[in-house]
Amino acid sequence: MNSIFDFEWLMSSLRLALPILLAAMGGLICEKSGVVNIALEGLMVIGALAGAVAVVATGSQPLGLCAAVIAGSIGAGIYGIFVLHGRAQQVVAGAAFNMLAIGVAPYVTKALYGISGGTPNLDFGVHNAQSAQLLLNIVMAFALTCPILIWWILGQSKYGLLVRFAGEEPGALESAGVSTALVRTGAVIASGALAGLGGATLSVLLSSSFARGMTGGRGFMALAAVIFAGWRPVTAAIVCLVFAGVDAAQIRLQGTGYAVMGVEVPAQLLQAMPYLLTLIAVAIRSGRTGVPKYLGREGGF
Amino acid sequence: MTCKTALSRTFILAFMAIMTFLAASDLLLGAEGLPKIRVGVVFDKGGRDDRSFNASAWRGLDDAKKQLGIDGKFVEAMDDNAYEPAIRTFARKKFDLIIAVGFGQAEAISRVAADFPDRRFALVDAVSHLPNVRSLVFGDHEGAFLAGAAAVMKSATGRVGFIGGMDVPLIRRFDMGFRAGARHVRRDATTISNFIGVTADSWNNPPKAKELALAQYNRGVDVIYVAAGASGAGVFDAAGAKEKFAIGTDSNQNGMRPGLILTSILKRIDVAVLKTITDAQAGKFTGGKVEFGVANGGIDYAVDHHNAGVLTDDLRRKLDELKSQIAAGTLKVPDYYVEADRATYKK
Repeated sequence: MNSIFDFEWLMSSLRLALPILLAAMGGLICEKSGVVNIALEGLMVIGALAGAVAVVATGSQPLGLCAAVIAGSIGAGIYGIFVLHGRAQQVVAGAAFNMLAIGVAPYVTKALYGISGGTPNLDFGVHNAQSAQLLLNIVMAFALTCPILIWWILGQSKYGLLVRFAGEEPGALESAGVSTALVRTGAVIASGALAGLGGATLSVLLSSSFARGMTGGRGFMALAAVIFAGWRPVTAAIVCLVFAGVDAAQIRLQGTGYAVMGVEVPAQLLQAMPYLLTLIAVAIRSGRTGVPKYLGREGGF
Repeated sequence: MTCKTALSRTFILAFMAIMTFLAASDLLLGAEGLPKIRVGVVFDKGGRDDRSFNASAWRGLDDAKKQLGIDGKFVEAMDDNAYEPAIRTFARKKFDLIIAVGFGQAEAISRVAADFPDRRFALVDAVSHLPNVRSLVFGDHEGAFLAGAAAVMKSATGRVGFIGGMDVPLIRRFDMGFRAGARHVRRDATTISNFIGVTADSWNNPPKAKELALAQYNRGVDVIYVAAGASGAGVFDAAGAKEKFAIGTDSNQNGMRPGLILTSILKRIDVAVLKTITDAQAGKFTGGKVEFGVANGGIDYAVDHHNAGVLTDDLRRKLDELKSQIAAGTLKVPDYYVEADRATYKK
């Protein structure tokens, strides 16, 4: 057991948490403003794809991440137009957005590279493994300070106050002469930027290619973390880290013949752990405390 | 308000229309009625260029196009439900030979083949008992055995690892062969086996594959054999980060990390596909099971300029000796598909 929860496990957990953590922070801002964001998964796909495509084109990892942030923001902007301007039902529009993103990705790679399975291998690791590690560390540091930053912005800053009002009392916001739609648009775009970055960590930092379906439900896990945490940023980050920690432990337990009370734990159960945990987390969250009052509802009037 | 609701409804309808178009676009096949035979290939979810399993089949189709002047078309199935419509579309369009790549398509091809008894079909990696289907099966366990042997011969620690994609019998077959190969060379060799997951995402999850590989390398493993489709790239990333060895699978992956990929176990699906197309063109197509293994060159290991430095002559001589023993039948490799062998396999 001791050999499982060591320094390597911690690093592995942090790496696995990175994409989920960033997406969760994006989802949190968006939901705080009163907009449901089922579209996180699709935004991650867009980010992962845009990041890999930009690295193939420019050969630069930082530019790849920038492209992912921009693409995620644009994607979220489109989602925002549907739900805020078009007033589409948010859950339905989010689900449609996910399908669109997942469907468009193979189309884009096919048009660009003639392959529907993904992008070619991104060739950077061999030449500058050190700068790749440095970039990963920088993004990791940003991701870990992000929850505190968001907690501060939401709680202390003027913009945070507007976001919270958009989610809790949009009517009051409107009476004060502030456009709820504008505040929510900003929050939705911010969520796209963060989810896009989260997606790009998968294709650019944690591996070296975009593969179809590589987000593998991480957007939904991020959303589950936000809900379980009662829309509190630091708690949501901790939940993400716990998810990742279990996944990392699972990876290290597999094949070691780990047994509980003499019965060997089946590998399949270990592999299902992160998903099982997500399910349990959402299921036991019956109280629904902390849910923004106007989540998924139109503001004002 | 009503106007806006209508607007949003229109938007969603437009979304759905685009989705449908995208899904259908892969199925819109050009159908020029050329006199040469027409071959349709349906790849599985890994996609045509997974640089592994599907890629090998694709090369076979490409060779056939060049050498035999056939007309070849292909479709990449996006999910399990896309297999049957794709195969059926080819059959309806009167393709002479339809090849389905991957064990997941067994049921779909059997259903279509029953409806089109006068069309010829081929299935890679699984068996269908219909008379108009040729089942192309491979001795994956033999290749995995060679991988296990090569890994232990190269290993300094005597600890070698296996990383499989989805936890299914086919991948267990790789694992079992790998372990047998490792033990054959060194009785006290330690093998560690990991599987990426239990869902189809497992074939497309390089970050997870990389974490599994890093965990194995950290436990003293110095050669990892990977059979995980597109996820394999993550294992090669880990090999690069740790400067340790990996062994590729199905296609020649030696060039993905030159000098760190000891070798790739080749599953010559291209040979099987080319042979089937040749037979169909010559009017010699027959149904039934055709086996490809070490004995008939269907399974082999790759040597090229990328791994010439690490896969030494001595290693190659020993591997070739094992190959001839397997081919001659004097060395029996345990097969997960054989019930008596499976009983000895410890998960």
